[in-house]
Amino acid sequence: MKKSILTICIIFSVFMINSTSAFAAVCNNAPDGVHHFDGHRREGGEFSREGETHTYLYGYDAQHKPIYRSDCKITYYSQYCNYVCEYCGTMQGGTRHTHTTRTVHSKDHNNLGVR
Amino acid sequence: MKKKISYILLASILVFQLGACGVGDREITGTSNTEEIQDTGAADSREASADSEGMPDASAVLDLEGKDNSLNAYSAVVNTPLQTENPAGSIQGGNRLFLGASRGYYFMKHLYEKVDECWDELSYVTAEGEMGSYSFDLEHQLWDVGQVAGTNHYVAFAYEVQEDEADYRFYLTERDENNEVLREFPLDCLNGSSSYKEILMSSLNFAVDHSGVVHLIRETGGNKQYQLISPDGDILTECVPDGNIVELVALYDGRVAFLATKWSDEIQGVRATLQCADAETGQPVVLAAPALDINYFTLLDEKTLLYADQEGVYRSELSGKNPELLYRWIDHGITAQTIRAIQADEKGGISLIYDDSSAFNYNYIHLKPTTENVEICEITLAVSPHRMSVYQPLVVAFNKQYPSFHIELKSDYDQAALLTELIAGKGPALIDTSLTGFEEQEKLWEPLDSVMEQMGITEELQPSTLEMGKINGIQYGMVTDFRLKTLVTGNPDLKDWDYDGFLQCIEDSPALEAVFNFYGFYGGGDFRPHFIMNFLSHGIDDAYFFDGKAGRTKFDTGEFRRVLEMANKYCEGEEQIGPGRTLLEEKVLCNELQISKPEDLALYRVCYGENANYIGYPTKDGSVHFMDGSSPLAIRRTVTEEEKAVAVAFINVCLSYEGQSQAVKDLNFGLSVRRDVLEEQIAAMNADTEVFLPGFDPFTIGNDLNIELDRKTLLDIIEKARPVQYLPKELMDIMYEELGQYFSGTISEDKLIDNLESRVGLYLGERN
Repeated sequence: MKKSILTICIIFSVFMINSTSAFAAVCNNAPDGVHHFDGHRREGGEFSREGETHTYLYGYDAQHKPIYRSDCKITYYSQYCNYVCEYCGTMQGGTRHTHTTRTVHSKDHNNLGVR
Repeated sequence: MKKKISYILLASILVFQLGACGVGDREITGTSNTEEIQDTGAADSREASADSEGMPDASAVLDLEGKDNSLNAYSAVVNTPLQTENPAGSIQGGNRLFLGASRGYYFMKHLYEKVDECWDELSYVTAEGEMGSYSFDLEHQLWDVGQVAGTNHYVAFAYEVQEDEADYRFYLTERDENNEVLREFPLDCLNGSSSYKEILMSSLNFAVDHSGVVHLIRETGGNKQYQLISPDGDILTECVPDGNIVELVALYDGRVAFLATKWSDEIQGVRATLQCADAETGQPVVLAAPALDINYFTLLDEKTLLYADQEGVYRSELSGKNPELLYRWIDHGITAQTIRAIQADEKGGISLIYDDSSAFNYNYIHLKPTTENVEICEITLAVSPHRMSVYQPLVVAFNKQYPSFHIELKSDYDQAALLTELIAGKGPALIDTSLTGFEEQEKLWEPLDSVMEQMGITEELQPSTLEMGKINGIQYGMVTDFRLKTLVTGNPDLKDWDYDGFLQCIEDSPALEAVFNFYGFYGGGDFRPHFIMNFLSHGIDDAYFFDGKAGRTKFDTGEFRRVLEMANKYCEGEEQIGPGRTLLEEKVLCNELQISKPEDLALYRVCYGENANYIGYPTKDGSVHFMDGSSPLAIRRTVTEEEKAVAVAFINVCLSYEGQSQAVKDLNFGLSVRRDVLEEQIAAMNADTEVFLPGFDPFTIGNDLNIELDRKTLLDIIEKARPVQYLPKELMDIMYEELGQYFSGTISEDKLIDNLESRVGLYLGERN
């Protein structure tokens, strides 16, 4: 009895796995019938990471000496994405990746930071 | 007992078969075009404001000039660039943006090689729309500037050498909105404490509150000191904030607060708080600690938080709960990439300085509660969720250019319900046809041939762009971008292949493990139907196993059986067949590649070599690269004339240089259909460009940058490419159904051939 049930379960599982994988690539919305996992779907909002500090030429004092400042702080913004089928939106598992979306300088400054 | 188990097994199989109809089975519809479109007629009561050419009437734009629409709880009374001069030969030095009660200021030091020529500029715009600037030569330079809370005045940091030239005196000078000096605030705490140069180099942040107290933050060597100083220059107290001070913030009531950040274990990230220092004790008092991922906010009133992000301007409880969107950028044609300053006034007005492009293009905007209803004409653009970010900048550009019209961008559609609505003659006026299908819904779309002719931009577009939006020779849609699809092979001697040549290559490669690279949901998958449908057919008139024109089929042949054998041997597997290495090791005959961005070629060049052999797909006449457009944008046939005018204007924006230049920045936007913008996409590649392609590890171009070579390769492929053709949906459904049954073992090879001969033959016969 137990052997029979176990055999049935194995057959059933194999059948299900085969059937599932047989249709795994099919997409009803795609013009060629298969998923195209080429779309990027953003996951959540941007997240930020503090970056380095930049030094730049701020100005000249009354004696015409150059004065530098190091108050430009960089913040890097990134976002998680997953690949999705661009026709039906189905997500492809295990494809989470990160994009750098923007880099924000707290100051708009020149590149004359070398003293 | 055995009977019971049999019944359980049978029932389970039946349940699975019924349940699996929604899992991967191809739904055979075949009747999607037979229902008559219901014309609801022109039900609107507004006069069409379109001119004779189908473009919105310019006078409608002029009528609203200077007036914001009333779509949101707040409206802009002014929205204008906040800029300084860009004198020839100068470089920009120190600078600062800040808000007055009803104006925005931009301070800039213009530096020259000849130091005597350096000068400072303080530019401003007011809530009444006035703009102006003050200039200061080197002798009278401002050095740095700050706010006087609750007013349009500002304070400037200055210093003077003392008589013995061994010491300096530091002070602030308050000036009013006409730049007249009002008073001085001595900063005795700075005198003699450090060298003057150290003080000038240190990061300064200062402001004056409504009671005349100076708030001074000075950072040196990583340490920040926050002092409150009386108008006479005496240090009242020093504040030790809870966290790291970021910036001083003038509040609506004339107080000066500060933003501080601190690590939070709760969120495992940095949390910002708004605090105010008690002038007597120096103790920081937390005014707001919102549980939001925002770094810049202020108070609208005592109990209300005010903040902004890339979506819009919000008010909420001090904790950040119950946010209310007061002003949505896209509704007013505004892109706010970064918020630089935000402030409320005592009357509830809101001022902001924002950067619209991450290129330091600052703008000042002043908002007030909406009191007047401003009528506009609105249509809806329905897009698929992953194309939202592509269309967003285009909608912003449109809403900005045509303030008397408005496009509402929506993506939360049930596709079946949307189709039903469209067939009933209702629903969104503009549709991204990836939601509905394009060719099979021909009856839903408004013809656009005359519109495209009037736009007169064909010469600026890539060849075949218009073709990709045609059905049966009539223009029904427009594609905004495209990608190239081709095959690369590891054999450098292969220059060309037709269907037979391609199949012969497979047979001549005994070491093959796969014909092409594939990846499914979780690794491998069944790509046997894909092999037959996408490598051996490219539209009904170019297929290996039938002749669409003559109506003949060739399934009952040795060639077809040979292909089935190849499919079984090489096009299925549990493991992913990745691109790249396996091709070069001759285990895979070819890789299917997609080129969506110019930088994709950089990755392919690194992966396959500089002489990568982009051979193309086999067709009946030889190898071909394919151009695959984005799903066309179409106009519902039953729209009113006014709606059509708005929709046409939007399509014009989508194809304009400005529109395309914005759209290319998005990940999901491919190669521009405009020649000029494509050249800019190519030129924009640099060492920091990141490339993300499914099946490949993330790649940064770095030292592999070679714009000229990749440009040549790209343009060569485009020149040789033709628009991709797919089988008609009904025919594709037949093929997939039969092949699916064969590959799953439900029917035999002979039965498959009989069914295909019969069903495909019948389809072709009826078609011809």
